[in-house]
Amino acid sequence: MSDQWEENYQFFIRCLPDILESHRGAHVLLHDRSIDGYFATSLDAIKAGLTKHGENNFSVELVDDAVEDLGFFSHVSSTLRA
Amino acid sequence: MLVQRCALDQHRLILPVSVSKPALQAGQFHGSFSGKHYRALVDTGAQRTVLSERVIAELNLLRTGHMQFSGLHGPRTHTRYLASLGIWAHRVDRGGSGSRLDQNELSLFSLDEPIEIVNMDDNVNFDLILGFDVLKNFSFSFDSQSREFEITLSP
Repeated sequence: MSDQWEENYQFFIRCLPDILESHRGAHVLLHDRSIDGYFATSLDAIKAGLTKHGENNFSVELVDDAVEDLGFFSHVSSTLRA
Repeated sequence: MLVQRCALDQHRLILPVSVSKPALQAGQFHGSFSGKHYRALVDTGAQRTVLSERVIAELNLLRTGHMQFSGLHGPRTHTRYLASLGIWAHRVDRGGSGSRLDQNELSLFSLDEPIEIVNMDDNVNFDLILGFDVLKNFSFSFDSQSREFEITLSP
């Protein structure tokens, strides 16, 4: 797995407080630890990433601070790992 | 129409599905399914569809990003992957007074667009959890008398 993917995520976490209010709900395309555009859907962002940078050379993150629920798995897995 | 019915399996509802790695061609994603069946747990309480790491590795799915999920012991970060998904179903004739379900022939109903799934640890009982991100697209019901779940995949 490329380091870029994880480095992009660390960059995104650092940037999130600055872009949260202005781009909440958008899907941000990340490449080489920089923002390469905002998209309405994650599929649009993924298509742009594949076209411009190729597989494993980009990542897409949702600009949001909400936490989702995985139902059965969230709770069973957490219990097993505790 | 395509319908899949499943009986309770140790208090679980399991549907047969196929998963594949979508390919981007001329600006559109296309899924090419091998026909291999995976076991999908129906979970209306899950906001996202979840796939075992074994299947993710087997299909070499495209890693797209991250997602935060709640758990009993605080939020956890999962990895998102892109996947094409199809649900195996029987063709049903609703004409006349009842419904006839052809148990011999299975057809694959594939979703129009790929979905982003998240990873989970491998599990001996099922390969993925079918969350409401997929289930919301279909009509489904549970008959308490027959203990059968039914999902309708096409009008």
